[in-house]
Amino acid sequence: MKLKSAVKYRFFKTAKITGIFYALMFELLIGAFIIRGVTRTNTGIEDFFPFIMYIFTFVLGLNAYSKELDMFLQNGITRQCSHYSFIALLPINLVYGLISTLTDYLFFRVDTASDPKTEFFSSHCLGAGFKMPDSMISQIFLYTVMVAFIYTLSMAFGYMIGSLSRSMKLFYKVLFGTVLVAVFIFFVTLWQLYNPDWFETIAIILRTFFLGVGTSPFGRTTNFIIATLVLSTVNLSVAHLLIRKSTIKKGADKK
Amino acid sequence: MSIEIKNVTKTFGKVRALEDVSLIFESEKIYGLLGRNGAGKSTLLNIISNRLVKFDGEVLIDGEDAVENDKMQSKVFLMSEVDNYPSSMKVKDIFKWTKEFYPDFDIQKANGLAEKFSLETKKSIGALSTGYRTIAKFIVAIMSNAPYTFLDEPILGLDANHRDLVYKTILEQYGENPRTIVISTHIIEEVASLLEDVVILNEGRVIKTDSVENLISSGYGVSGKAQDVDEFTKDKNVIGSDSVGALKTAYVLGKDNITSVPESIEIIPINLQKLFIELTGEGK
Repeated sequence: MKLKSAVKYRFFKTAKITGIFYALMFELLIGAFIIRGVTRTNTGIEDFFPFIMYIFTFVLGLNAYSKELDMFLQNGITRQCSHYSFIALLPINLVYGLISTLTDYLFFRVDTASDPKTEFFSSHCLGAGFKMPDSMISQIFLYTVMVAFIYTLSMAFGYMIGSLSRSMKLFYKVLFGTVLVAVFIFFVTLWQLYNPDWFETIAIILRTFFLGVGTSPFGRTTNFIIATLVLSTVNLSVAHLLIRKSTIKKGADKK
Repeated sequence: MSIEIKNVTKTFGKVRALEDVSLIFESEKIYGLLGRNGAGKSTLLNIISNRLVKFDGEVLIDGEDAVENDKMQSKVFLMSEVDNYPSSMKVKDIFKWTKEFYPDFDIQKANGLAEKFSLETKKSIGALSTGYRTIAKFIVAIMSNAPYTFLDEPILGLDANHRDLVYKTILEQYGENPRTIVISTHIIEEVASLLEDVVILNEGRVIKTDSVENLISSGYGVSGKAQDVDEFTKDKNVIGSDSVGALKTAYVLGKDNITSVPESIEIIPINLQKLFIELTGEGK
């Protein structure tokens, strides 16, 4: 199998994009740090930073499917090999998780009550009864691992959406996107207007699925890892089913 | 050692692109894969190179199933009309990554060839003209040294000088490293002298597969006054004709034993392009 070459290609491409992304991000964070240092107030980027990472990893996954598949098929790499090479890429999220933790400590320690880590561990993120571990090392470890697995799930989800997008004709893509947006608007409107009881029930179910029922931070982290791995596997499996019959995107139907 | 295509049928919706195609590409031969627009040439090449996997039939490379087979696909390189490289990728990076995926790719010779063609390897493939993009893809394909190298329209957008260089390069590389090279093109007349064997597709079916020598000697042209030509060819298998005023040339298929030729007519050899046109004309 040309798996080693495919993995090397993916890592090279991802490293290039990651370098550009973090260069831009750190410029932004340094700016925010200076502003916060002078004004002693948050700039808002502290709340936004985790979501930027989720979007970044989602987009990485999205592009990893379609753009690389054409290049791989051109070079005799099978679809299976392409798929496995993506899976081999996923551990990069541990690096992203570590960078997020370091970023948190470097940029959000100045007089702020809402740094990403604290927000993450606060009751509305990880549920009531979650006890933050006492030792700093444990806090760093748990935060790094948990965000790394969120990034993994985000990347796998992006990859799955990429596979769906490639296999759908334009009409169905527009239809799918429209239905998704409509459903989202419907539920948000419903929540804002009525805040029905079943919303809280859904939130409890999701929290139980991701965090389990115990209060031990390590127990909850383990549950969280398992839950995100299960969801990531589902996404990767859907993508695998779709990639098996995927063709070269451009000109494959040219007779 | 060969590529065997067995009873391959491929349908796109209601359109049957290939119908029950069976043929063999033997090792160390230069083939021409000829056919009109929409005949199924690119579809066949995409199937062989694992770019299309949903089809009926079988494709074997050196006896093994070609579909989703890394080991066998590493023996195949297809230069296709469409661009499958990221448009921002520089030509020199394409060379570098091709070397990674095809270890026998000769980067040094590729760079030398790029110089001969005046191709700037620091440019991205998306920034190149149609002709230079073809040249870049051709260099990658011919220097891949893959045992089965497929060139789909290798002279698309090239001027006469570059076309000549492409033909010379194919022969040089074939001489240095004999392998199976399959050239799919519409410019039959120019490429005919390179070809050993020919496969002609028409409307998704193989209508002829033979050596160029046999094909050319399988027919002849009869040229002269229309009346005389018609008289001479009345009991022969005429596959087509050209008329200019009172003069006519008829193309006959068959190795007839021509013993006496009237003085008013001339027997001329039939060339591959003419044979192709007559075999694949409307209604054939």
